[in-house]
Amino acid sequence: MEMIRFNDVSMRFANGYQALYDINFTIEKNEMVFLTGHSGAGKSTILKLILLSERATRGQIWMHGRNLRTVTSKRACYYRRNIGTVFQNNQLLFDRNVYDNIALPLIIAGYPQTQIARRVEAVLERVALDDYATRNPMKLSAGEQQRVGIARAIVNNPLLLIADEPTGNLDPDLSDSIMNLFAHLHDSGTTILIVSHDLSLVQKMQHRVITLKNGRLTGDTLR
Amino acid sequence: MKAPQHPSHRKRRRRNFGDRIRAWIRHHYTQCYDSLLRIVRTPVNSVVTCLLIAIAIVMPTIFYICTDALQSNEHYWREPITLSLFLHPQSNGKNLAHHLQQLPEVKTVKYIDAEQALAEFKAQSGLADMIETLSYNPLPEVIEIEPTADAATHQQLAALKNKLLALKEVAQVQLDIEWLQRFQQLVMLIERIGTLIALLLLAAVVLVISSMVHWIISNRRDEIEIIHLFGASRAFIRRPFIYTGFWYGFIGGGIAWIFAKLILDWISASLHNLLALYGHTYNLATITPLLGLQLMFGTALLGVVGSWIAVVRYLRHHIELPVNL
Repeated sequence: MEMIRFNDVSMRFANGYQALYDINFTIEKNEMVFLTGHSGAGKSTILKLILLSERATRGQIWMHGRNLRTVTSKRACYYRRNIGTVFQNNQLLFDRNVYDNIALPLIIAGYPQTQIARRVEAVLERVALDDYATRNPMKLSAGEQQRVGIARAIVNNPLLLIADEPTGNLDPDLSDSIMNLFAHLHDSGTTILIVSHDLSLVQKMQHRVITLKNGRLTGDTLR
Repeated sequence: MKAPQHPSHRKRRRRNFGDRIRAWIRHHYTQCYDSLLRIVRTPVNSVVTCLLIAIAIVMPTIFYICTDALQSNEHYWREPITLSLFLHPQSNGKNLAHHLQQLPEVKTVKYIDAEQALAEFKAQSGLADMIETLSYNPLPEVIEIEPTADAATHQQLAALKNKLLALKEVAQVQLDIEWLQRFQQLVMLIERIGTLIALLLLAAVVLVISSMVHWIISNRRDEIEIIHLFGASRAFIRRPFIYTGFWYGFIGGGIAWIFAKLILDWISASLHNLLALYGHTYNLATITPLLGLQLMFGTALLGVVGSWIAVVRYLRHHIELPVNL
């Protein structure tokens, strides 16, 4: 089953900059895909289009069988609850502890308190941070902070997990560790789209790679 | 690390309506409490903001209380309106007075015969010796009429004057209402200026709270963007800031209540002493607990309006999704 489909998608920003030209690709359910390319290639624009932070100027994007053009501005928030996002600099909130950071998507979605507690505990186990619930994320290492970020992204059991340069700020060992975590999540059935410009890391992972250059799709290879 | 969980084991439990309502109430409660805590944690900014609000609110409050007190104590300063009817000689004043008492516009009628009028004139004018030398009484019979409250407007009084002047016994009607017109115009002018200043100050309160909330939003921009990406609705994003505006207004209104009470007590003591010298006892109305609570919740409402403006502007300019093409 298709998770994401881009049909002749082009994107021109209001300032006239053309970020994408006729992009076509499909990501199947339970697939793990890397999106690579140099700066300005259009990787972030694709993520913005999937997250509905921007609308494509031409073409159609389908997410889990739904045309994103049919998602109104008002309903976009409900759509976004189906996507978990991991950021390069983890974007944790340092005015609250690990538990509260991870619980955020569940609070937004209106889950009962008991279910939130159960899910946060379970996800902390999955990312091997069982005893970190009450800690302040500021006091964690970069790798631990990224794990918290991943836990927050998957706690709501999203249909799609998006990671934007998740190892950008990490050393090679920590990068491997985070990538292994993604591989585990993929093995458990999560559809994952990882944006990365670290080609060595991408090649090491042996998964499908979509390559962009100057807004055009230049490669789509299954390794 | 734990063994991976197979997707078939992951249950997407459907949340029922009750769960959602409970979550909504819980979020309101936590945001209400959390926004108050955030205000307490930034004491300097909060105190300055609340004092600004209080100062802006206290002036309209005192103006309102003073004008309300003036209106409710009108009988202290307002002379009754009277029409004085000077009769022709040989008129039957008593009969006319009896007749006039039947008119619907007339509240009271006072008949003063010529002898009584002369006696009063002697007593009040200080010309008693000169009056004694007169061989006859030059003063006419007078009827003083006090109109009813329903017939006390300028137009109604003028109509009543013409009606009385048409009576054959009446030589002249004297109605001194110019002072009343001037006074009413002055009161109206003061009320309008006061209302204008009050509106400007209330707008200032909205702007103060709006700019303060805007500053808070700027400091929490990252948090807003994160919760936006995780699917927070606009209402969810707005909520903490609306509560912040509410609390600023509520606390500012509370301080304004204290200020207004102190100022009114201070003015009231001086006014009481002044009027006592003229034989009056008069107490300026004070701020009642009910009015105080109205002040706090009213200012809190202004806070909600101010914060609403700030947060809606922010959402529109920063995280609003472009419209469908």
